[in-house]
Amino acid sequence: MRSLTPNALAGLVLDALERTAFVLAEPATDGAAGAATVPWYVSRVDFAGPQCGRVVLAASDGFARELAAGLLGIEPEEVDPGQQGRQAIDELANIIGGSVVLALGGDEQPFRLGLPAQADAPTLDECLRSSIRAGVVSEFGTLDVCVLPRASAGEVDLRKAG
Amino acid sequence: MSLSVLIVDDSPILRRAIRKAVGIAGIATDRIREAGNGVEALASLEQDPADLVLLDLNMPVMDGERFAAELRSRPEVARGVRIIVVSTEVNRERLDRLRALGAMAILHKPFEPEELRRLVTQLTGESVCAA
Repeated sequence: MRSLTPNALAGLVLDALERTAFVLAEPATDGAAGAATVPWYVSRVDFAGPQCGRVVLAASDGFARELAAGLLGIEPEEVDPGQQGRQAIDELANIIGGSVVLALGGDEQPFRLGLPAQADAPTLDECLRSSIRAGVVSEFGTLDVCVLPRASAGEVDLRKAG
Repeated sequence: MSLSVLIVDDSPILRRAIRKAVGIAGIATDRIREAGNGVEALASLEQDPADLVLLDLNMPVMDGERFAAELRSRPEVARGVRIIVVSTEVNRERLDRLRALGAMAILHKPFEPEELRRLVTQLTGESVCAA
Protein backbone atom coordinates (compact mmCIF):
# COMPACT_ATOMS: atom_id res chain seq x y z
CA MET A 1 0.00 0.00 0.00
CA ARG A 2 1.45 3.34 -1.01
CA SER A 3 1.49 6.43 1.18
CA LEU A 4 1.60 10.14 0.54
CA THR A 5 4.04 12.58 2.13
CA PRO A 6 3.53 16.35 2.49
CA ASN A 7 6.33 16.94 -0.04
CA ALA A 8 4.69 14.62 -2.56
CA LEU A 9 1.36 16.35 -1.99
CA ALA A 10 2.97 19.75 -2.61
CA GLY A 11 4.40 18.42 -5.86
CA LEU A 12 0.97 17.22 -7.00
CA VAL A 13 -0.57 20.58 -6.20
CA LEU A 14 2.11 22.59 -8.02
CA ASP A 15 1.87 20.33 -11.07
CA ALA A 16 -1.93 20.61 -11.20
CA LEU A 17 -1.78 24.40 -10.93
CA GLU A 18 0.79 24.82 -13.65
CA ARG A 19 -0.65 22.34 -16.13
CA THR A 20 -4.31 23.16 -15.65
CA ALA A 21 -4.33 26.91 -15.24
CA PHE A 22 -0.78 28.13 -15.92
CA VAL A 23 -0.61 29.31 -12.29
CA LEU A 24 2.94 29.33 -10.98
CA ALA A 25 3.26 28.87 -7.23
CA GLU A 26 5.87 27.96 -4.65
CA PRO A 27 5.67 25.70 -1.63
CA ALA A 28 5.08 27.58 1.62
CA THR A 29 8.19 27.56 3.78
CA ASP A 30 6.64 25.89 6.82
CA GLY A 31 4.27 23.63 4.88
CA ALA A 32 1.22 25.83 5.53
CA ALA A 33 0.38 28.87 3.46
CA GLY A 34 -2.10 30.40 5.89
CA ALA A 35 -5.23 30.06 3.76
CA ALA A 36 -6.61 27.39 6.08
CA THR A 37 -6.58 29.72 9.08
CA VAL A 38 -8.85 32.33 7.49
CA PRO A 39 -10.06 30.72 4.29
CA TRP A 40 -12.21 32.42 1.71
CA TYR A 41 -13.51 29.11 0.37
CA VAL A 42 -12.96 25.49 1.38
CA SER A 43 -13.66 22.59 -0.97
CA ARG A 44 -13.34 18.87 -0.44
CA VAL A 45 -13.50 15.68 -2.48
CA ASP A 46 -13.74 12.20 -0.97
CA PHE A 47 -12.24 8.95 -2.19
CA ALA A 48 -12.69 5.30 -1.30
CA GLY A 49 -10.89 2.10 -2.18
CA PRO A 50 -8.04 0.23 -0.51
CA GLN A 51 -7.60 3.52 1.36
CA CYS A 52 -10.36 6.00 2.11
CA GLY A 53 -10.11 9.69 2.78
CA ARG A 54 -10.90 13.27 2.03
CA VAL A 55 -8.84 15.87 0.15
CA VAL A 56 -9.47 19.40 1.42
CA LEU A 57 -8.51 22.67 -0.27
CA ALA A 58 -8.64 25.99 1.61
CA ALA A 59 -8.10 28.98 -0.65
CA SER A 60 -7.73 32.69 -0.18
CA ASP A 61 -9.84 35.07 -2.25
CA GLY A 62 -6.84 36.15 -4.32
CA PHE A 63 -5.84 32.59 -5.05
CA ALA A 64 -9.36 31.65 -6.19
CA ARG A 65 -9.43 34.67 -8.51
CA GLU A 66 -6.01 33.83 -9.93
CA LEU A 67 -6.94 30.19 -10.51
CA ALA A 68 -10.24 31.05 -12.18
CA ALA A 69 -8.53 33.66 -14.33
CA GLY A 70 -5.94 31.11 -15.42
CA LEU A 71 -8.60 28.54 -16.27
CA LEU A 72 -10.72 31.01 -18.20
CA GLY A 73 -7.98 33.05 -19.82
CA ILE A 74 -9.16 36.33 -18.31
CA GLU A 75 -7.73 38.84 -15.85
CA PRO A 76 -8.15 38.16 -12.09
CA GLU A 77 -10.19 41.35 -11.63
CA GLU A 78 -12.68 40.12 -14.23
CA VAL A 79 -13.45 36.97 -12.22
CA ASP A 80 -16.79 36.61 -10.47
CA PRO A 81 -15.44 35.15 -7.21
CA GLY A 82 -18.77 33.90 -5.88
CA GLN A 83 -19.35 31.71 -8.91
CA GLN A 84 -16.20 31.29 -11.00
CA GLY A 85 -13.83 31.43 -8.02
CA ARG A 86 -15.67 28.67 -6.17
CA GLN A 87 -16.08 26.56 -9.31
CA ALA A 88 -12.34 26.86 -9.94
CA ILE A 89 -11.44 25.65 -6.44
CA ASP A 90 -13.96 22.79 -6.71
CA GLU A 91 -12.44 21.73 -10.03
CA LEU A 92 -8.94 21.95 -8.60
CA ALA A 93 -10.12 19.72 -5.72
CA ASN A 94 -11.35 17.20 -8.28
CA ILE A 95 -8.03 17.25 -10.16
CA ILE A 96 -5.88 17.04 -7.04
CA GLY A 97 -8.17 14.30 -5.71
CA GLY A 98 -7.47 12.30 -8.86
CA SER A 99 -3.73 12.86 -8.47
CA VAL A 100 -3.86 11.77 -4.81
CA VAL A 101 -5.70 8.59 -5.78
CA LEU A 102 -3.10 7.87 -8.44
CA ALA A 103 -0.30 8.41 -5.92
CA LEU A 104 -2.01 5.94 -3.59
CA GLY A 105 -2.07 3.28 -6.29
CA GLY A 106 -5.29 4.08 -8.12
CA ASP A 107 -3.92 2.88 -11.45
CA GLU A 108 -3.69 -0.68 -10.13
CA GLN A 109 -6.43 -0.78 -7.53
CA PRO A 110 -10.09 0.22 -7.66
CA PHE A 111 -10.63 3.64 -6.11
CA ARG A 112 -13.72 5.79 -6.43
CA LEU A 113 -13.70 9.56 -6.34
CA GLY A 114 -16.72 11.62 -5.26
CA LEU A 115 -17.80 14.99 -6.55
CA PRO A 116 -16.24 18.15 -5.10
CA ALA A 117 -18.34 20.14 -2.63
CA GLN A 118 -17.98 22.93 -0.12
CA ALA A 119 -16.42 21.66 3.10
CA ASP A 120 -17.83 22.35 6.56
CA ALA A 121 -16.11 23.90 9.58
CA PRO A 122 -15.21 20.61 11.34
CA THR A 123 -13.49 19.42 8.17
CA LEU A 124 -11.43 22.62 8.12
CA ASP A 125 -10.51 22.20 11.79
CA GLU A 126 -9.37 18.67 11.05
CA CYS A 127 -7.40 19.92 8.07
CA LEU A 128 -5.50 22.35 10.29
CA ARG A 129 -4.30 19.39 12.35
CA SER A 130 -3.55 17.06 9.45
CA SER A 131 -0.07 15.61 9.13
CA ILE A 132 -0.46 15.30 5.34
CA ARG A 133 -0.66 18.94 4.46
CA ALA A 134 0.93 21.25 1.92
CA GLY A 135 0.65 24.99 1.38
CA VAL A 136 1.49 26.92 -1.75
CA VAL A 137 1.89 30.62 -2.38
CA SER A 138 1.10 32.18 -5.74
CA GLU A 139 1.28 35.75 -6.97
CA PHE A 140 -2.22 36.65 -5.78
CA GLY A 141 -2.88 34.40 -2.81
CA THR A 142 -2.42 31.19 -0.90
CA LEU A 143 -3.76 27.65 -0.92
CA ASP A 144 -3.58 24.96 1.73
CA VAL A 145 -4.28 21.34 0.82
CA CYS A 146 -4.56 18.42 3.21
CA VAL A 147 -5.48 14.75 3.05
CA LEU A 148 -7.61 13.34 5.86
CA PRO A 149 -7.51 9.54 6.11
CA ARG A 150 -10.77 7.74 6.89
CA ALA A 151 -11.16 4.27 8.35
CA SER A 152 -13.84 3.06 5.95
CA ALA A 153 -15.93 3.94 2.92
CA GLY A 154 -18.84 4.59 5.27
CA GLU A 155 -17.09 7.75 6.45
CA VAL A 156 -16.75 9.37 3.04
CA ASP A 157 -19.21 10.97 0.66
CA LEU A 158 -19.18 9.45 -2.81
CA ARG A 159 -22.53 10.83 -3.93
CA LYS A 160 -22.43 10.80 -7.65
CA ALA A 161 -25.63 10.41 -9.60
CA GLY A 162 -25.44 8.69 -12.90
CA MET B 1 -9.51 19.60 -41.54
CA SER B 2 -11.91 21.45 -39.29
CA LEU B 3 -13.63 19.64 -36.43
CA SER B 4 -17.00 19.88 -34.74
CA VAL B 5 -16.27 19.42 -31.04
CA LEU B 6 -18.56 18.58 -28.12
CA ILE B 7 -17.17 19.22 -24.61
CA VAL B 8 -18.97 17.19 -21.93
CA ASP B 9 -18.19 18.16 -18.33
CA ASP B 10 -20.35 19.08 -15.34
CA SER B 11 -18.05 21.94 -14.38
CA PRO B 12 -18.88 25.10 -16.36
CA ILE B 13 -15.49 26.57 -15.62
CA LEU B 14 -13.70 23.47 -16.82
CA ARG B 15 -15.76 23.41 -20.02
CA ARG B 16 -14.53 26.92 -20.69
CA ALA B 17 -10.97 25.94 -19.77
CA ILE B 18 -11.09 23.00 -22.18
CA ARG B 19 -12.51 25.27 -24.86
CA LYS B 20 -9.56 27.57 -24.22
CA ALA B 21 -7.13 24.62 -24.38
CA VAL B 22 -8.57 23.60 -27.77
CA GLY B 23 -7.81 27.10 -29.01
CA ILE B 24 -4.31 27.21 -27.52
CA ALA B 25 -3.61 23.78 -29.04
CA GLY B 26 -4.35 25.29 -32.43
CA ILE B 27 -7.01 22.73 -33.25
CA ALA B 28 -9.10 23.93 -36.17
CA THR B 29 -12.77 23.83 -35.27
CA ASP B 30 -15.87 24.87 -37.13
CA ARG B 31 -18.02 24.55 -34.02
CA ILE B 32 -17.57 23.89 -30.30
CA ARG B 33 -20.59 22.91 -28.21
CA GLU B 34 -20.89 22.10 -24.52
CA ALA B 35 -22.96 19.67 -22.45
CA GLY B 36 -23.13 19.35 -18.66
CA ASN B 37 -23.73 15.58 -18.49
CA GLY B 38 -24.30 12.48 -20.59
CA VAL B 39 -27.99 13.11 -21.12
CA GLU B 40 -27.36 16.59 -22.50
CA ALA B 41 -24.54 15.23 -24.65
CA LEU B 42 -26.73 12.54 -26.22
CA ALA B 43 -29.44 15.09 -26.93
CA SER B 44 -26.89 17.37 -28.55
CA LEU B 45 -25.50 14.58 -30.74
CA GLU B 46 -28.99 13.48 -31.77
CA GLN B 47 -29.62 16.97 -33.09
CA ASP B 48 -26.24 17.53 -34.66
CA PRO B 49 -23.31 15.10 -35.04
CA ALA B 50 -19.80 15.87 -33.80
CA ASP B 51 -16.36 14.73 -34.93
CA LEU B 52 -14.87 14.81 -31.47
CA VAL B 53 -16.31 14.40 -27.97
CA LEU B 54 -14.12 15.47 -25.04
CA LEU B 55 -15.73 13.48 -22.24
CA ASP B 56 -15.50 13.83 -18.47
CA LEU B 57 -16.43 10.73 -16.44
CA ASN B 58 -17.56 11.83 -12.99
CA MET B 59 -20.74 13.74 -13.71
CA PRO B 60 -24.19 13.83 -12.16
CA VAL B 61 -27.35 12.71 -14.03
CA MET B 62 -25.46 10.48 -16.47
CA ASP B 63 -21.74 9.86 -16.08
CA GLY B 64 -19.26 9.43 -18.91
CA GLU B 65 -19.20 5.65 -18.83
CA ARG B 66 -22.98 5.38 -19.16
CA PHE B 67 -22.89 8.00 -21.90
CA ALA B 68 -20.33 5.94 -23.84
CA ALA B 69 -22.48 2.82 -23.43
CA GLU B 70 -25.63 4.65 -24.55
CA LEU B 71 -23.85 6.13 -27.53
CA ARG B 72 -22.53 2.73 -28.55
CA SER B 73 -26.08 1.37 -28.51
CA ARG B 74 -27.15 4.05 -30.99
CA PRO B 75 -24.94 3.54 -34.04
CA GLU B 76 -26.84 6.13 -36.06
CA VAL B 77 -25.86 8.78 -33.49
CA ALA B 78 -22.37 7.43 -32.85
CA ARG B 79 -21.34 7.39 -36.49
CA GLY B 80 -18.08 9.31 -37.00
CA VAL B 81 -17.81 10.37 -33.36
CA ARG B 82 -14.36 10.05 -31.78
CA ILE B 83 -14.30 10.09 -27.98
CA ILE B 84 -11.40 11.35 -25.92
CA VAL B 85 -11.93 10.83 -22.19
CA VAL B 86 -10.71 13.87 -20.23
CA SER B 87 -10.78 12.85 -16.60
CA THR B 88 -9.00 12.34 -13.31
CA GLU B 89 -9.81 8.61 -13.57
CA VAL B 90 -6.71 6.44 -13.42
CA ASN B 91 -8.05 2.95 -12.73
CA ARG B 92 -6.97 0.65 -15.55
CA GLU B 93 -10.02 -1.59 -15.37
CA ARG B 94 -12.41 1.31 -15.75
CA LEU B 95 -10.34 2.85 -18.53
CA ASP B 96 -10.26 -0.52 -20.32
CA ARG B 97 -14.06 -0.66 -20.06
CA LEU B 98 -14.24 2.79 -21.62
CA ARG B 99 -11.95 1.76 -24.45
CA ALA B 100 -14.22 -1.25 -25.04
CA LEU B 101 -17.15 1.17 -25.19
CA GLY B 102 -15.47 3.19 -27.90
CA ALA B 103 -13.26 5.73 -26.15
CA MET B 104 -10.29 6.16 -28.45
CA ALA B 105 -7.92 7.94 -26.06
CA ILE B 106 -7.56 9.02 -22.44
CA LEU B 107 -6.33 12.45 -21.42
CA HIS B 108 -5.62 12.73 -17.72
CA LYS B 109 -6.36 15.92 -15.85
CA PRO B 110 -4.24 17.96 -15.40
CA PHE B 111 -3.17 18.18 -19.05
CA GLU B 112 -1.47 20.66 -21.31
CA PRO B 113 -2.94 21.85 -24.63
CA GLU B 114 -0.05 20.24 -26.50
CA GLU B 115 -1.08 16.81 -25.20
CA LEU B 116 -4.59 17.39 -26.53
CA ARG B 117 -3.27 18.49 -29.92
CA ARG B 118 -1.08 15.38 -30.17
CA LEU B 119 -3.98 13.06 -29.36
CA VAL B 120 -6.36 14.74 -31.78
CA THR B 121 -3.76 14.59 -34.54
CA GLN B 122 -3.24 10.87 -33.85
CA LEU B 123 -6.96 10.15 -33.92
CA THR B 124 -7.76 12.08 -37.05
CA GLY B 125 -4.63 10.97 -38.87
CA GLU B 126 -3.94 14.42 -40.22
CA SER B 127 -3.03 17.89 -39.11
CA VAL B 128 -5.86 19.63 -37.32
CA CYS B 129 -4.02 22.84 -36.61
CA ALA B 130 -5.76 26.08 -37.37
CA ALA B 131 -4.13 28.12 -40.11
